[in-house]
Amino acid sequence: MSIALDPPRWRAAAELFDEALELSATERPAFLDRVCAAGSELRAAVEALIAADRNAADFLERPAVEHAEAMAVSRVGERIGAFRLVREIGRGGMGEVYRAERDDGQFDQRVAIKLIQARPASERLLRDFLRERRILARLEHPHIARLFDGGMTADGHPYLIMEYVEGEAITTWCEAKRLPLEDRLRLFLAVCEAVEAAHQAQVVHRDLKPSNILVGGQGHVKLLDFGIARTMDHESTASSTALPRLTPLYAAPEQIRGERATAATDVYTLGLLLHEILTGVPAHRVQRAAPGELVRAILEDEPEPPSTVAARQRELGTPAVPPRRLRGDLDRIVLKALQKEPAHRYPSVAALAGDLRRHLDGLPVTARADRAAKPLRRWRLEASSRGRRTVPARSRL
Amino acid sequence: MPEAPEAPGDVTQLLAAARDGDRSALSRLFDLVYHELRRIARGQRHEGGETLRATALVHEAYLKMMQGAALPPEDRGHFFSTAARAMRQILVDRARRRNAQKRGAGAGIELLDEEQLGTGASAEEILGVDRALERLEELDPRLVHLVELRFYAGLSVEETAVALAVSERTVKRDWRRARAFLFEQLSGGPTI
Repeated sequence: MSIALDPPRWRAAAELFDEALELSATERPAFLDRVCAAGSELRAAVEALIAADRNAADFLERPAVEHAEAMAVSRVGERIGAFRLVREIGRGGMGEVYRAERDDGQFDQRVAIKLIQARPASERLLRDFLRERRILARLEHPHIARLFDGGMTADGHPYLIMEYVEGEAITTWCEAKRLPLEDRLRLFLAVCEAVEAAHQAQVVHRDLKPSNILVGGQGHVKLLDFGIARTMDHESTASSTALPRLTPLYAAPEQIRGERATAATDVYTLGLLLHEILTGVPAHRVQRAAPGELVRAILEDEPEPPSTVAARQRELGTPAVPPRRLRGDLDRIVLKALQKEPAHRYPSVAALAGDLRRHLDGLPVTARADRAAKPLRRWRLEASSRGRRTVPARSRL
Repeated sequence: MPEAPEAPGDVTQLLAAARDGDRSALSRLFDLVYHELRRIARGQRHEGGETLRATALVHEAYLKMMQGAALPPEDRGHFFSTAARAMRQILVDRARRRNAQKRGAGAGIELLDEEQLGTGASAEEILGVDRALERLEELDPRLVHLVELRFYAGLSVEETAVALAVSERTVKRDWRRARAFLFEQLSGGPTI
């Protein structure tokens, strides 16, 4: 059964649909009686739309490509090595991650198994993958999720067996517990230790973001997903199939420009993380999210000092970290880590951690001496959530 | 029409020409974006199901093609509209291939994923939405444009509002209308 709708009648139906939705279900029939002829096609159309609206639930709310994702097979129940895949816990750019349990009756062990989707297409890629695996397996640190082993499935997909980590993203943890400043800094310093240890082993993480840094029930922090890290001396081509997708929100300018990531890239992303840990919100938050705007902001806009952001957050409630504690040295430390030019950032994660420790000890920080480095360019604030636009005056660090 | 990616300057020119109504520029732009999106998607994953990430894909195409060069807002919006249409094409093509696969020799294996996941016929839904959008195009092309940005490019309500140069309220109202229409078309005998 099909009603012949044409553009004008569709428009009429759509407008009545809008109006009808403003009314309660009991008021609607009377409204429709008033505006539509009884038994008319127009009324039938409006009622059909209303019914569809009621039943649609989350229809189309998931972007189309996620249907494509769901089309892939889940491997729950399969056996890989000595383990059986118990539950899918994530699906990312590189493949799926499963929770797995030891299946050979030897002892109880829970691990995470990451299945890489791309079959290494060439000998070279396979060699690369194995070399990285060897290097990552050497990373032993209390704050880094261990890589235990790896292999290849019967149908040719590489997999990694890793320590299973449960926890909350570090930023969520800090906010939920309303951690005071010192505790947040100590947690962050543990993260720095881990990243520095990796750098010492010539490994760059390249994808540090809150969801990769989990805090467990005991308050112990662990870094995940070094699986996408690259060794610093490895020549990677931009089109390598093993390269997973970047999370733009936590990308450094050089990554956006497609350049190689270095230790300085990790310093930058740690700066973003620190900013968010101190203020409770991501550093590059673009309110009016025009397409491409975030990229532009990362490449061009100077980030706001944490104290400014925290002061604004006060409008929404009492922040766990008072803005005045952030003004001064902590602002300087964060902004130094977030310099667009890698050479202007801290030379190492250890240097960043060093300044933070000095701050905790009440000592002067090296970031203070940088006042000549760059005057803070006038930055544009995006329209605030209340629709106001503010342009602050120039200021110097 | 496979080719090497063009320099950002060329893309900017194409966008400017498209903005002025040059249809061949628009068509050329579509080809470029389509090609770029497929290239990126292929680089991500393969065999037995592909993984694509909506906004990440479209933003990535934007990055690769523009390489950080600045674009005026209306051209950015245009880029994303083109990318959205290209995404729709890619997904529809893929859903059709998947359907063809299912009917072919590998039928037993292909069907398994849908049963296991219980998400219903995703390929069918993609094709169904596409057909319903063609119907909607006859009635309200503006709404189709909005659905492409939201559903295929995965833009948020805010991003869509900026791309279409309308208010968020308008986007929300239109989105609700579009969803109702499309759902109605897909759920059994269309009344409309």
